[in-house]
Amino acid sequence: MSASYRAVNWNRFKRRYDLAFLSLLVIYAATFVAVALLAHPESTAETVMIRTLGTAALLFLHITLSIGPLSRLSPRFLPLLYNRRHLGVLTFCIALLHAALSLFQFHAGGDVNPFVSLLVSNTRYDSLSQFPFEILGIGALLILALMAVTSHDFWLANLSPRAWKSIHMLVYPAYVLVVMHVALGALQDSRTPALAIALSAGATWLAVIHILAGAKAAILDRRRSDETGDHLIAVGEVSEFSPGCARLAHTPDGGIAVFRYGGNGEWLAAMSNVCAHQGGPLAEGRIVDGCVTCPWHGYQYRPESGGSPPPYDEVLPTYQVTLRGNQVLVDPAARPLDAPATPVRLDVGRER
Amino acid sequence: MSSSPERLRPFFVGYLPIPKTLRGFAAFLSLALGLVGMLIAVGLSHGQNAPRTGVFEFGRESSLEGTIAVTPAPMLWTRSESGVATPVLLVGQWKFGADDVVSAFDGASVEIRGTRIMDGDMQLFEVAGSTDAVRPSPSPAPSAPTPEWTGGEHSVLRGEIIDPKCFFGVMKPGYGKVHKGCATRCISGGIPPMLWVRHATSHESFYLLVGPDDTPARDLSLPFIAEPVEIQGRVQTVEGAPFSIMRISDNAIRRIR
Repeated sequence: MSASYRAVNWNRFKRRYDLAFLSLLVIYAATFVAVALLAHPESTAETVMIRTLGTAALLFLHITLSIGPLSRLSPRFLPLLYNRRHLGVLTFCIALLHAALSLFQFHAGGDVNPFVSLLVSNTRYDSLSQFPFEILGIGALLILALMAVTSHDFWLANLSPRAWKSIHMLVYPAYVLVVMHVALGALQDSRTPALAIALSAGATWLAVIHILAGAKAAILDRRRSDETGDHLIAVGEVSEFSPGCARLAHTPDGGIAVFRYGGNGEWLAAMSNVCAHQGGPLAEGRIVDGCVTCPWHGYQYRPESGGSPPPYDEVLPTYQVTLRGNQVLVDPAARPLDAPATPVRLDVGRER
Repeated sequence: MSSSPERLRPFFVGYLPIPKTLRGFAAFLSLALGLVGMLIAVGLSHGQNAPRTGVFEFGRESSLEGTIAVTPAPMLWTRSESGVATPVLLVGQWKFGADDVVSAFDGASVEIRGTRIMDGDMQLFEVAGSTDAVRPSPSPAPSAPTPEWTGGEHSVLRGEIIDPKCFFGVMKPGYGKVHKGCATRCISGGIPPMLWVRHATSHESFYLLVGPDDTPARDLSLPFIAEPVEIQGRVQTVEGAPFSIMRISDNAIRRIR
């Protein structure tokens, strides 16, 4: 959380996260180069570097794209999600280096400007086998650049979370462009199956975890909360609420998170399930230091008001909770931001 | 909705200490990623195409003596001790031909400084960038006449148009679709185009493509570089040369797939 914008809000975990992925890059690159020198000693250094960076960018793009669905499948992967933007920026930097080295290697030192050469050296757009694969890589790189530039919370706040999310969903078209860039480029010249196996295994892996995550979300969506005759939504019995945790009331606009909180779990309050930051699912969060805490990036809201603790100023809509016997009900009509719902006090001594 | 409350799972917040129960998983994940990364690197690196064995003696300047022929492409005819003449194709710095540097020395016996490019019997020489890279030979012997390309049998050959500078050692690979942009720049910049023909028995042969004006057929070749092509023309040879020349005219090249 931040009340003002800084280049990077570093903390201990972010440093370790970045160090871990930089280490992975170093390990990958060192292994690739070492094996190339041993297995193909006639290789030229620039070709080895271009291939090291290209395949590393592909690997890191796969990791970046895996984090979302893995986090949906198991919350144990949520630490990977916390700093995913840094991983995305690192992926872009690797891809940019690959592109810069390739531009220099294949197009510099000739009779036309390298950037012009890049665009005019192959114009066989009429042929699949001869298609200029470079243009596909350029398209992917431009998307990754747009994502890297707008990755900061400044842009998230100023573009609105919905627009920001739309921009960052472009990572999927970028992935398709990258796969085609490889398939219509390096793969066509390859006389061994290694690259084809890696590319298809990566695509299969991503498809499987996205389908599994989608199936899990669909199953959860089918568990519709019970609507009562008076338009209230039944969320469960009091005994089903763990102190410090929430249950989700399904609504068309992302759901309502009904939290049980307090020193003895004696309060119930409800707020929007959609975090103001990146739309994280608050019902999967927890009460930390008396505040509802988003599982994605730790944004916090006071359950009794929906507002972030000072100096932060995010406010989420609240919803009125009522009890009918042991049954917890919530009114799906959001309360005005300046007139939040009243939390319900439980008689914890009488709870079954 | 009558299930009992779920057991509290560890909850991660990025700016708080990571829960103990998640630390083990994070450590396992880091190791697994490192291991998978190494395995992928080994597979992809080992699975690269074996590069050609040509050598570009980058950073090591040499000198050659011989007789310059500007047509059909800049080359230096060198003679072995037994008197056999061998052509060394001359190319310029970066992605340029050597025409401008050697054109004033056509038929002259010279000493040239530059960098050798070798692949088997094939020899090329990248002429150094300095103004005195080509100078009259210090040897008192008169320049020997350059051999004539003879023959002229009409042939139809299938292969790939390459730029010989990259192909024979400067770049690996110096052929194929990935290298197409570079080959286009090289040939556009004056390096003579060559046809690379692969025979069924892993044998290969090379044909310098020469246009109707007895110069390298650059403009005729440019639209077809790095693609499978069929070329019709007249093939001429010289004994001892590791390549032939193929004289072609307009519409001699066609794509075959």
